[in-house]
Amino acid sequence: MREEKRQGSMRIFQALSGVDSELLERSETEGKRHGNSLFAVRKGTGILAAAVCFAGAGVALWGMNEVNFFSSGNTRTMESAQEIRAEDSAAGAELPTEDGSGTGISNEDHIVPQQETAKTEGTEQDSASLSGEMPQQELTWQEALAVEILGDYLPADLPEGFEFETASSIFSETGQTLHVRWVNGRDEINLFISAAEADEIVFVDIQTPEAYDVRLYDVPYADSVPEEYRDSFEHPVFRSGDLSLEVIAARMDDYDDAGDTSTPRGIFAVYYEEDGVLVRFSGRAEAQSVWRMFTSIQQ
Amino acid sequence: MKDTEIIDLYWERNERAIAETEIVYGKYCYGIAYRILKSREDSDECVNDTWLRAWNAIPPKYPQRFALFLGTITRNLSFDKWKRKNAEKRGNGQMMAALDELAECVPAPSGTEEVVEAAYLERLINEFLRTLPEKECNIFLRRYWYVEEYEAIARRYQMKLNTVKTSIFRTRKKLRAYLEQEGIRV
Repeated sequence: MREEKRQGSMRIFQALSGVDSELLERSETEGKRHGNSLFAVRKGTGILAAAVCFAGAGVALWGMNEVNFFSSGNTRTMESAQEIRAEDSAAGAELPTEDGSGTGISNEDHIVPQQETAKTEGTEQDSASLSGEMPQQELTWQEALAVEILGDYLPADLPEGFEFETASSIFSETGQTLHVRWVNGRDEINLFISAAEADEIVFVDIQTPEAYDVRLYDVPYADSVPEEYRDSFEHPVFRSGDLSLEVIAARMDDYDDAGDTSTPRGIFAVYYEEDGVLVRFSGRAEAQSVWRMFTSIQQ
Repeated sequence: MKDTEIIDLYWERNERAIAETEIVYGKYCYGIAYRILKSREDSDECVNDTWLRAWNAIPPKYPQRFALFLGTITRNLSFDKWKRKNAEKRGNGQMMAALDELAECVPAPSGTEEVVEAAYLERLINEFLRTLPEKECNIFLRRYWYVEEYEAIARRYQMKLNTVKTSIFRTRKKLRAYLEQEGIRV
């Protein structure tokens, strides 16, 4: 292949990494539907129609070479099936050897009693709905501001250089969450705003910095943070009246991650009792800027 | 574990996040890497690098499609490694075959146009894929995103092997025509 053509093909291959995720998901979904058809099998939790197992005609088909379910090539079918979520994929999937040949798979691995079919199908339906997608509605900035009560807790002031990127209203069994993201190059700020009951929250005692100050501990925190403070350290929620520049500075730190930006990052939440609103912050910015952002809420 | 629960672990900087990700998506990402690299050792390395990249990206990212978020990282890492190892080689393997086929999509240069920017090419390819019938688009992506073999694609969609090959062949022609119509150089 001429070098120019080769370089072009590599650029096209690279560009395919940017394919819209819904198109990729669709290519897997159709695979699942076909994977549940009469002649599809999967190791472990595989489905084989009972009619094929128990009908004489099905037994005859089972032995036919053109079905070819038990050749080494079937390993690749197993591989394709393994690209679905853990609820569907079998444990101990066969992986190809270096020379590309697969391992043999016996008939018994694929025969699944009929009563398991419904369970697996249910699992697949669950996995389809549990693909990480929560019902959500994309919003413009103006629409985000207009969300009843939650929109009132969007900041008027942003750290320098940050611009609005996306907003969405996420609906779950616990209620509505307003999510807004701002970006500044490779740095992001995310706010998740939702209603919450005060008596369901364990608030951080700001007089006990050991419970929330990341500067007091070394990474990995799992090894350095005492067990008694683990929950508050990982999920700190401050009362709005307790929030200050000092508290925010205690939650922002500059982690030395290879290939990452040097902007301090942190996570914490603030509870506003007057409206029962919880604002969760996750992002990168200087503590002073984050403090100014929070002071601009409800201005 | 649900995706949302795993992502919450990342947000909490709980190192269990990586273990849970590996349990749920280890095989999925390994499959993507192996189809490109055809090496267990290299594939393991790319998968481990994927977990590190995810750890560094979340937060502040909150992936809406966690599987594809991870799969894309693995694909990019695997392709980068493949390029480093195969810069001077010519030969067999699915990856090389896929690239040979994609070379048919490269439009003939018609003038002095500049090579298109990567982001713009991504956009064009997305637009092109949306012009395709769903099945044709799916087959194309299985071949050139997942680097699946023709036989595996045929089994997945319950199609004849020749039908899959014909579909992909026609789609490559369409892509080349589309890129030539856009007047770009790849």
